[in-house]
Amino acid sequence: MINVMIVEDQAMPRQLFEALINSDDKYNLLHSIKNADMADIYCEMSDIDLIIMDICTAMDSNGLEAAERIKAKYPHIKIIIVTSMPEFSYLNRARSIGVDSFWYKEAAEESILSVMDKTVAGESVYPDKTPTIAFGITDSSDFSERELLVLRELTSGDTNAQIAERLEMSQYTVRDYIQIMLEKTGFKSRTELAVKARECGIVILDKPKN
Amino acid sequence: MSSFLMQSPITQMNFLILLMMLMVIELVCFVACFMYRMKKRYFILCAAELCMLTVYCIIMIQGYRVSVPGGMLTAFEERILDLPYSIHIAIFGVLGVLTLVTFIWLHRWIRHHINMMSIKEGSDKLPMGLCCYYESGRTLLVNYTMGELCRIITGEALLNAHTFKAKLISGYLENGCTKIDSGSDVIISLPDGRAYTFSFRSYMLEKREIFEMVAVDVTDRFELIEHIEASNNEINRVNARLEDYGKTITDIIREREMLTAKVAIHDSLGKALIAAKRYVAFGDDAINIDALRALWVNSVALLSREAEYKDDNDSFDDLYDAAEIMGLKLSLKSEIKLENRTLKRMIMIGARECITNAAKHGKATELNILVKATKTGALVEYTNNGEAPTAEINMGGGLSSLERTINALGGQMEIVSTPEFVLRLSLDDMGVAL
Repeated sequence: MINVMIVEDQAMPRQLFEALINSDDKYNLLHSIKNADMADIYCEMSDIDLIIMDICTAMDSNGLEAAERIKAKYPHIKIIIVTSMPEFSYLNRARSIGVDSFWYKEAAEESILSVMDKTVAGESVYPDKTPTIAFGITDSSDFSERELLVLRELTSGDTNAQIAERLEMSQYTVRDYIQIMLEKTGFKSRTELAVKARECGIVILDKPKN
Repeated sequence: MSSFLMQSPITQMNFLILLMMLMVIELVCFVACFMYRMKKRYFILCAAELCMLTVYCIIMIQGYRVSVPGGMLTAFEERILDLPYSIHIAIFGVLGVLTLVTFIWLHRWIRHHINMMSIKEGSDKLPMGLCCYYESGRTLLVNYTMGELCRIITGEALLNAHTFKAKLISGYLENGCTKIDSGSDVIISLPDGRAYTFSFRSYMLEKREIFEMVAVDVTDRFELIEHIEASNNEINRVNARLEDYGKTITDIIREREMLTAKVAIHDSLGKALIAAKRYVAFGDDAINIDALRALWVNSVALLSREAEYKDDNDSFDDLYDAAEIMGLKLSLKSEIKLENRTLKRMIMIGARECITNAAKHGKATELNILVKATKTGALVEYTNNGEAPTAEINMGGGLSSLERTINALGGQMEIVSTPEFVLRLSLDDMGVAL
């Protein structure tokens, strides 16, 4: 029996996962929690084999950060990252942490149960790329990694100078990237660009400020 | 030929008048040489001509006076006056030519050379204000613009440059003029909308220190700065709205995920309906009736509980559950409303570290979290009823990682080892309602 823990902050998807796990005799649902920051503690006290971990969980806790900590302390625990956000950096970050599998909630080619079976069997299931989503008059595949980095920082509402300092580039480079993205998307202003980017989830700023 | 003394009084008078006119012209040339600070040789030439004219004029006046009964002449004067009148005409002609040549030459020289007057005239044409002055404040050169600025700003003429400068720097100005703070620059805004920036410097000229005050019209730049400031304020306002939007968008995305999940449930229910219909109508043995039944039960259960779903993701339920699973009784008290997202996150991650350490190392059974208000934000204190540390706690990997995370959130961490373990996390400038 494979002991599973679900880390998902939304009730409906969490109970869907619970229902799927309970429908399969191979799996035993040990814990179902909302906050990724607490996942370590459950791993400490319970014999968990597999974690289904959402990325954006309760109180802005980050599933990728939790996965990194768990993989460092409990490397035997398999982790499947699940998300509906097409944020471009999540795939690479998950790979670098050593997450076993990655599953997009809305654009998956196979079911979560299938991914769970393969992961437990030792296979690593990753999509080829982030889902392509419409963004203005173009789509998300039209942007380079640097442009997406700038776009992500743009959603913080900071000035070009502040963005440039964080990304270690000149503010003129930041300005040029923003201009290129405006031309690609057809949006009229940087505010519209940032708002639409957040709406479609193409970029997610990890640390929202208060 | 008759001498000067033998001429009629009227002739003598006319001669004297013409001579005095020449003397006046020569005097003007002499003064001009002095005023325009001409070279010494021209100055000496003018002085010599003036002296000659003056002496000759005095002699002629004496000759005119002896025509009055009882007048006395010296031998020298008598000898000069005894000269034929034609000689006197010739002397007058020579002196007259010299004087006129000097005058004409001087006039042309003034017109074709730069001098004090031309400098003053040229500086008056400048659009900027210019004032050169000595160390005492006595002005050397004040152009028209600077004079006007002084009158507008102080209500007085520019008599002492130090006094004017002191008023500019102090900001005690007249006629509605205001000083604008702009770092080291002195910028004065005039009531008619113009703005001038005043700069000061000094330099050495002929071994003497000369001070210079320059006023430059920065009206256009000032208006542009005001426009940029207004634009920046608007951008800051828009950015603040974008930040607020960023906080709510996560909730919007969560709602979208919920909808996706519901759609998935409805899809599977749809498939179950088709499979059930086939089983009932045709008794299809390929359909696993147990799995179909489970699918029906789960889907209906999920949908029937739909109205009960309340995503209370801001509660500390997971924290309490985690503490319980570690065998700890958790107490969370707060003097302030816990509405700030960063503060709540900080409480959670601090608690995570404390729960693990309290149970494993301190063998505690209770963990207390107290949130207090500070002048600038909030302070979170973690204590437990476990064994007190016997020595200063070394920052291991967990505590170091915790400190990095807290710092990244904008907070500060402090650890107290004696007499009991206390972990303190502080967060400033979070706008929490106190």
